[in-house]
Amino acid sequence: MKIAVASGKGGTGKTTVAVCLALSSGQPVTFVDCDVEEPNSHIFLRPEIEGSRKFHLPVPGIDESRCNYCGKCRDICRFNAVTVFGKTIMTFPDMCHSCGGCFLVCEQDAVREERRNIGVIEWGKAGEIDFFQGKLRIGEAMSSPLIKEVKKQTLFEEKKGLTILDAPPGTSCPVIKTVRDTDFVILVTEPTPFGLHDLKLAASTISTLGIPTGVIINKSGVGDLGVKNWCKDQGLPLLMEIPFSREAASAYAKGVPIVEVEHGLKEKFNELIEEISR
Amino acid sequence: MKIAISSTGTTMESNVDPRFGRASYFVIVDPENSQIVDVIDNRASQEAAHGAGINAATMVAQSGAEVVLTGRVGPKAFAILQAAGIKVVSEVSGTIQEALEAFRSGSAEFSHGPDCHAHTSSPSPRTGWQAESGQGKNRGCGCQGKGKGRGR
Ligand code: SF4
Ligand code: SF4
Repeated sequence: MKIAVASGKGGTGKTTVAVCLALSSGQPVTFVDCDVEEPNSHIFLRPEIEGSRKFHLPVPGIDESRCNYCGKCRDICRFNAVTVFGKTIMTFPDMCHSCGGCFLVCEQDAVREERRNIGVIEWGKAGEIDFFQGKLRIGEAMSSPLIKEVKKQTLFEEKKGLTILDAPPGTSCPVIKTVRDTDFVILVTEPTPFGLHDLKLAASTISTLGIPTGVIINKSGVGDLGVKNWCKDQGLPLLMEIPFSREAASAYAKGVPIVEVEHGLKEKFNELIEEISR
Repeated sequence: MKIAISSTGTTMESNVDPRFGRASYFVIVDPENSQIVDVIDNRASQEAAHGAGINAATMVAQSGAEVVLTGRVGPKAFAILQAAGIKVVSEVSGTIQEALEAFRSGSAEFSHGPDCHAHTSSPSPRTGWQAESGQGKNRGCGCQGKGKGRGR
């Protein structure tokens, strides 16, 4: 069973929910932090990192002794990562999506492969949990390829037991990369008009993938009924409401998973996992 | 000599487009006689997700212009213009006619670096707008291109 936890924006309690799920299951658990721009599940899970590897993308480097400035590489690149004007060729490696187009199209064999580091993949153990995370290099924008690589590191396809993926916030490509090939998506939101707005965007992104989806409302009791009503209208199951509590907030601030302090919450999450798996 | 001016339209009465990369047009003007000698249609840039500045700067470089008058230029576009030996005057406003006259009066100052605020970063769900991705001092935004030309 592979469950991705996502939300339309940051700070809704996405990581809290993902961590709670991981700590509440009786099955062997793999935890994958795909929020590579700001992975913070480790604060709560406190894994022992056992291994790591850097991840590179192949980007073009130009051998100017061979280049005849024909501009074919510029014309094929959809990302404007290489340009040619007059007798000048320039590459912008941070724009390159490594599609390989310029390598193929160059007839002068002037495009050579260079490697650009975009981040690191780390793995280890958090108690019984197999833990994986990706960390994007600061200022780097190419999170999708790194997410794909982190999933690959977990041997995602063959994975047995329960796999929990903490998705990046938002509704763009990195979210899709995380959620793809999972069995269920949990969208975490707050019961406010802003929460509802972001939930709608996230739900419409996920719906394009056709993966069963449910909603968890975090800090219920602080806002309004908008989210609840909308879920009902859409036929989107409301899986759980986590009430706002002082204990939870202060546990969070100290990096303590809230299932450790909120009585009965572990059981609720365990039941939820059972229900989703059914 | 030719001057490229980022423009919202195609006449001398059009306004200077403050955006370089996503300007609607570039009018190429001969400052000797204030005639428009060429117009580059850059409207497609408004749909481009990435690298609009790179594309615009490439077209301007190919036009043979020696000077650019515009509002703001991002770091990548600036790097290209610099490599092409094109001088940049930023913070220009008003009509094309007015911009040209101001330039001819000699009051314009050439930029020595990109106007980093023009850096078109993508909206981030976390912060609304992503912060600049600087990688050190005096390097613009750290995203200049690699490679040099050999003159033209
Ligand atoms: S396609 Fe090859 S030869 Fe043509 S400009 Fe690009 S690198 Fe140079
Ligand atoms: S590999 Fe693709 S994205 Fe990268 S520079 Fe070449 S054509 Fe552009």
